[in-house]
Amino acid sequence: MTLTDLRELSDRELIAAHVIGDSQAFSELVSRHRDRLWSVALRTTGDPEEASDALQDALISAFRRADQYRGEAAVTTWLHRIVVNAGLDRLRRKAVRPTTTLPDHHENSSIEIVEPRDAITERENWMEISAALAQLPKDQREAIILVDVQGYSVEAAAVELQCPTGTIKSRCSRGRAKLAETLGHLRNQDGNEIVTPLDQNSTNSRKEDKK
Amino acid sequence: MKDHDEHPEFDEMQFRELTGNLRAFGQYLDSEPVESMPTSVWEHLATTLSLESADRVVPDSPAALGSDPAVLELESYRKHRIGGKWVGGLVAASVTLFAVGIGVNALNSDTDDRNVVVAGALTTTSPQIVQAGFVQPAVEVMESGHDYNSANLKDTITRLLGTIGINEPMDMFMAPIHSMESAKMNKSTGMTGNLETLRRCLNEITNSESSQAIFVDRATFQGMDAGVIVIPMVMFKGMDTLTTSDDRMKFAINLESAGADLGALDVWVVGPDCGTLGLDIYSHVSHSLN
Repeated sequence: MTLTDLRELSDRELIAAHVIGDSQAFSELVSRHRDRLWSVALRTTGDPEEASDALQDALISAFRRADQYRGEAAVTTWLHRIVVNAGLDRLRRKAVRPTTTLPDHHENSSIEIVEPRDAITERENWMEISAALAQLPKDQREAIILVDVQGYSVEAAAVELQCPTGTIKSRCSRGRAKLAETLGHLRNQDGNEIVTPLDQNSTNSRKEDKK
Repeated sequence: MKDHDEHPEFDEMQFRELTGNLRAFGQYLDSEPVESMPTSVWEHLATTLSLESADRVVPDSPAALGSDPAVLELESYRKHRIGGKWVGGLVAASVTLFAVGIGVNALNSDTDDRNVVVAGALTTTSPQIVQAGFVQPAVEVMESGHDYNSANLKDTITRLLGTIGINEPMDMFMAPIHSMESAKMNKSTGMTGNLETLRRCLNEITNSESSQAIFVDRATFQGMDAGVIVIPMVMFKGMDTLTTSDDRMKFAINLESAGADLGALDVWVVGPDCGTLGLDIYSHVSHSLN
């Protein structure tokens, strides 16, 4: 299959082509989404060097496990999750502490979730959350990332992780309890929550999750 | 409801703030603006994926069954850091590669240490075990007698590469990397006085003991005794970690498939004492064989 042919394929078709042996399909897929994946890695790790390494870990993992892609979520969502997990793995291994030394270009990132907050403090909080997630046992972390971070329904997460819904709930429960303890110091640091209460969209999303 | 009864703490209302924060974190990860991936990171990833692709055997494929003539034996590939940048870790493994759809003309097919590439399939005549140790510093060493200057440097290099059979980027990677002989070292002193000195010179320039110039011309630069050293840029992208011609050619093929510019050259014009007394750089430019 030529590169031109590959460029005409959808993400799912590229995964399928890769699984059956096309040597260029996966590279085309990554090339197509590389900036998005890079952003996710950078935001998860907070450090370009770590992000680069995490992205490599993630893409090798995805390359090898592409046959496990269930098709329940978009390919980009699947890749996104693998990148986040790889970034958190690196944070865990390297014991990276939350830091404020993100690249300058992050200064302009449009993080609009919090009403007016100091951007640096906000990024510190995101990195605190990253670090806390990194410390969770892998099974709990994966469940939390799917359900709480990425907004999967419990049922979809169960399919993705190939386990019963009860297991997902149990893992989320235990993970949340640990996170609540780890991140407790972030609450009401100066009389405000670290993020605003849920917006309407995310509330709806969780309602759907419970269905 | 049963699950909720079994896991009452799953009820998000108990962790409303936490789950809100986690969802907001997810939105932050996916938020705009998207950062552009640096070119260096992309090139590194493309290389990694190419290597991964070379290491792959699709279940039930002819290669996996070991019955296809297009199955190659690759003895190893390794990865390392170059200048502090991770490129990989040593991996020693015998792997198979099912290569299809590749057509390249072979050059100098009278040697053992090379692949013979034919249209539609890639075969090997003599897969060699990597001999760790000294890597020849250059494929070709010459004394053109040419007086280089900034204006004629690139054109002269292109022309001289043509005289040694290198007209297209892939030609650079067809030559066996262990074939250079000391007899080609005509200059009795300085950087081209012997192979070891030239090796040290390359080491200084590339920070790698297994890098290899495509050619070195002991000549003059604006009237000064000088050496012109031409190194394929892919040498800085991991090729130097591969110490057999087989591996380097496959690496090049994979990089080319991934869209890398194989013709990119790093050209150094250095003083005659490179590798002995010190590194004097007269000129350092990029060039392309394309």
